[in-house]
Amino acid sequence: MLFKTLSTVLFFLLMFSQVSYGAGTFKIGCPAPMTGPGANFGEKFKKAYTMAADEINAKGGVNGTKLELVFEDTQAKPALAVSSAKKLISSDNVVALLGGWSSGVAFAVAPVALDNKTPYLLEHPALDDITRKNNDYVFRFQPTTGMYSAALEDFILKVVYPREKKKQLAVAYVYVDNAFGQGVAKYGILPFLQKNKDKFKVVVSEAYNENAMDYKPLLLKIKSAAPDIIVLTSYLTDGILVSKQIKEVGLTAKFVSGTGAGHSMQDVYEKSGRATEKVFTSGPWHGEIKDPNWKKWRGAWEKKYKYLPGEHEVEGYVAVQVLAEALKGVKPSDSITKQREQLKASLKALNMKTIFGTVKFDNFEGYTNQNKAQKMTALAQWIDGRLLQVYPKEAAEREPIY
Amino acid sequence: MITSIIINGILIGLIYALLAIGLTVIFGVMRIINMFHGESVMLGMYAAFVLFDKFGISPYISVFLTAPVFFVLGAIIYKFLIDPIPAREREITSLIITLGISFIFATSAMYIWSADYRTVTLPFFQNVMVFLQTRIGYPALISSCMSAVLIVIFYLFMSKTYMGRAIRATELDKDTASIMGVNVKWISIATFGIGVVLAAMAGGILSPIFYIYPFVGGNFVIKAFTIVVLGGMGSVTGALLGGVILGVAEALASTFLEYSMKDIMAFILFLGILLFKPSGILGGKTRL
Repeated sequence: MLFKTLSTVLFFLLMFSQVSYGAGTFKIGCPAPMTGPGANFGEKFKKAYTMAADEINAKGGVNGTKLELVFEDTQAKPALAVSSAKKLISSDNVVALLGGWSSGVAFAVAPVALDNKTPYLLEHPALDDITRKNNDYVFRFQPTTGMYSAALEDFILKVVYPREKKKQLAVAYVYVDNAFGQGVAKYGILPFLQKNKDKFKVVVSEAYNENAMDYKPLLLKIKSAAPDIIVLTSYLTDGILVSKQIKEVGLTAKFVSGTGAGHSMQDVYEKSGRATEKVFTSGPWHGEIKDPNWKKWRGAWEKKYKYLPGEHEVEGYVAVQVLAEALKGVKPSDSITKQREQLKASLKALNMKTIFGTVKFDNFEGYTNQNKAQKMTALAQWIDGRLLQVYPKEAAEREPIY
Repeated sequence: MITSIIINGILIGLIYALLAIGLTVIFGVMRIINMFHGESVMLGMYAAFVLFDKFGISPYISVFLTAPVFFVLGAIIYKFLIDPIPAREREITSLIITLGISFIFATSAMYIWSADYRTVTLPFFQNVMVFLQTRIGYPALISSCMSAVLIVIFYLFMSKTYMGRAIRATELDKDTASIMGVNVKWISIATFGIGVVLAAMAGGILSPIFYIYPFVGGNFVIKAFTIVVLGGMGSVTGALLGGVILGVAEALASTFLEYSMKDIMAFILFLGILLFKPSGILGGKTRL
């Protein structure tokens, strides 16, 4: 009896150890929202990762070792994401974690990566604090919420300010009081206005509640302050109401812009009755759109998946390429613990040109392993129902209407 | 600017009042804390959305078409789920049961219509009229006026008709009303139905100026409870007054203090009333 039990245990042990070490691939753990409210995003990223991994594997993999993506469904729930990440690290023996889509998930998974000394590359989560925790195992190549407004700030300084020919322009800034809005305000717009206070006078600067029924008192207050520039950081539902009610109270200014999220969504444009027409917005760009490699990639994507890719697709695709490049510095014959350390060192030393821009992880101004991704943002404008990039020049699809 | 702010406050206050009236009637008559209220508003919004989207019927008309359906829904819920609760457990158990019902309806709405946000965009949604230097959008104006009209009609119903008087009699003293020949059981069922209809009508009227999604009801419940306490539980004029006071106070607070002070203002009013006049502004002797 004892012999039987022992041999069964031994058999399973052997079987599992075979799964863990026998495959000879670089395993990348992807905690992604495959079901639940974020499922359509999980699907987009899965397509993007798979496309990149298939291309790399078709060329023989990374120095002869193939990439293997291991997906775990997080349902976009932080608690579930933590257990998926732990499973990926301890039982699947992945060399790195990738993705997560939402800030909430990434914020919860990052400490798991640190505890288990496993590199974690973000592909879309934007909350600044994720790379501001001195966590040496978390890497982010795309813009943080505080960087979303970089292209907008540049445009205001270099185009709007000189054109208005006034010593000081009056600015009204309102932002939604959630993690996203606070990130943009705290690390983006407010420091920018403070730094350039000789050029801009802040007449209104307030946070507002995401679920309010009526924003008119706030909008009337802005109207009576008669600003030259209005900047809004809105999410989805508040974006719909604020945009509608701006029209209703007749609030106008020479320059009106959002900072991504709500203002970049087709949903807000349609559901506010096209109230965001001609409104600007800034956020992550769709990549180096003038680069022939980007064009080639987009063509291949459209052929494979039958739709045009946006920021999520390019981020997911580039993330796998970044990991593959860094994996060149990893010896597959070493133990998994050593491999993870080698990958971390290799990511830190990386300086790589991608179709999303240059990727180089730096420590600066309180950030750790964060790409200086300000350049990976663009100012876009709603023109006849389409959101077109208009600034800077290298990302512009057309001239801004201003 | 100050006139604009007050006018806007009154207009939104009228909608708040309509949102609260269904709740105050149910609470006043039956001492039921109806957590299903928010979902009744949500169902009213979806009903308006579907009728507008599929048949092009304006929400301002469809609220009257769907009212009988919501009345029956409310009556069924009361008859089969709340009425069987023994009287001594009524308050807490009914709260839990209505909370459960609200979850069932919210998740069913999610299943049927998905989590997408919907809006009802009327053809004249961008038209604006100017009154005392205040720009008012047509949908906001019509929604507020309709709220006022419905509140007046409901007030007349409660004060002039036999049914309304029977409801008030039940509210004052169940046993005496019963002795006087009022069928208390049927009045309770009808009152719950009326409460649900009022909430659904508020939802329909709100649909052109708000957005719709399965869990939208939660946005309204706390506001409605605040107004009910403010105006006096069970009082129609109290709810009207409470709604308008809250609307104007919020508008003034968000203008002269900060926008984030808006909700704080609502709760300061709430606590103040609870401290100094717990029966509400018009609660106590004058019931209607």
